[in-house]
Amino acid sequence: MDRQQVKAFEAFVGVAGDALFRIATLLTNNRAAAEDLYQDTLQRIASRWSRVDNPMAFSRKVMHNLAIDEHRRTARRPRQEHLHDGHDRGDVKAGDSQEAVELRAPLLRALDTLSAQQRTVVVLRYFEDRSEADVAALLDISPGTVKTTASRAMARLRSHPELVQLFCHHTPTI
Amino acid sequence: MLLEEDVRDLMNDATSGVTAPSHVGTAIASEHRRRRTRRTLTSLALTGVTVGAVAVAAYPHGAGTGPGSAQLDPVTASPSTGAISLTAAQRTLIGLSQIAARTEPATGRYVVMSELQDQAQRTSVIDAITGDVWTYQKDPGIPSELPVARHDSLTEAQFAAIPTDARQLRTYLIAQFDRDQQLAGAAESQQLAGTGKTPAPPLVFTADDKVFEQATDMLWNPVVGPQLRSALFKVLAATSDVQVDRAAKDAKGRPAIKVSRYNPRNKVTDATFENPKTSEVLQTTFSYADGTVGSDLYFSTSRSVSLPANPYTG
Repeated sequence: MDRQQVKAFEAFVGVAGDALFRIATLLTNNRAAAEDLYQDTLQRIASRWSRVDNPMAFSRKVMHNLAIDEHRRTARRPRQEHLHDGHDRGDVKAGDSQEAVELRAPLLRALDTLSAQQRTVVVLRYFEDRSEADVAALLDISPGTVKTTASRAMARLRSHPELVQLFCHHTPTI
Repeated sequence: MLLEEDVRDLMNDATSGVTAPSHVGTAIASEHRRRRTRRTLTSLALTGVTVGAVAVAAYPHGAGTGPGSAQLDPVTASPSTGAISLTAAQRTLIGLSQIAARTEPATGRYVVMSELQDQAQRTSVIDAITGDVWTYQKDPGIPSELPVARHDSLTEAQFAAIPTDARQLRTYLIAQFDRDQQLAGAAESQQLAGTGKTPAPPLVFTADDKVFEQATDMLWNPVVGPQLRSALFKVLAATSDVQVDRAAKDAKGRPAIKVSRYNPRNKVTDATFENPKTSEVLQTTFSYADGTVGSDLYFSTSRSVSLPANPYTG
């Protein structure tokens, strides 16, 4: 990258960093894993910066695919390595409320019962509000697969007692 | 029953205040800043490079090393002195220095620059008081509006505090370069901490390498006042291996004085194109060994008392 590109990259991280890190948070089970995913994603974008037309779209694609790859790698490891802190240390910066921290741990435990593909589809469809066609293109799968993956994921989440309980007690912030 | 909307709300609320660790992006940016120079270093030893000696302002610093290295000093010499003969390149740079010194200081808090950065048409706004920089982009693609880069430029007051005596300015520029290098190195070390990797040693630049890079990196910035710009041109006249082409044209075809220098350490040629009448910077380019050229082409620069809106929306 030349100086201008480094500047543009830094500006992009400034504008998109938090949104990307929120996605990383939902795709991983603990803060360290989220930071790793976020860092790996930014590394890939930086090394391809001059060839990327739309850094935001590209970084999402990279992040979700990295998360799936990572899940495949760690799935082979013993379960105890699957650390859950649910990001329960919270964020040092202001804005991360106690309520959010309390929601996060059970939500992430519920999301962790999904397959990697189910989890990315749920995050893309419902957190990022992507259409089925968009999700299909991002993950290189068919729109039909997106549909069935999403509905199976929802069925599984509905059967997660902690999440159901959470939902019963949670009043969403408007 | 738990609906898609409920999952959406849960995911939103559970991450609403989560912020990205800012050191991650910073570390990657500084790594790439240095990677560029390092990558070019590896091929440096293999390639012999000959620089065409057209109007080279070969001003020797320190003890005279080469034949005919008289201690001429364009910093204090005026073109009419007669006792010391300046090269054509040095005379041109001193001429630009004099034009810059006669420029009226600009007023208006905000500098508005319409420019073409590589292929992207952008408008940059610099707040001369805080150094904040806004960047707006015309072409589609994200980011169409970059966030405000806080304190991305020095402020008018900070520029005004930089010495305008050419010798002191040279010392200042070298120290500034060294500070930047140290910061980049520290950020990289921090990023690599715990990974078992160590940062590669930084390239060793000469004082003239540092001076040229820092001076040209300052010249384009309209927040820099006339006296400092004038001193920067004097410093360039006293920097070795600076090439000056008085009959150049910028990418838009405007007549320009091209001031350039090849840095064999990182194999990058930095060039700045000045308006011969006003000394204003029309374009800056960075040319790399692999043939890629980065360019910043300035269309217009103005000052405004209030913060202008994004010119590409509404």
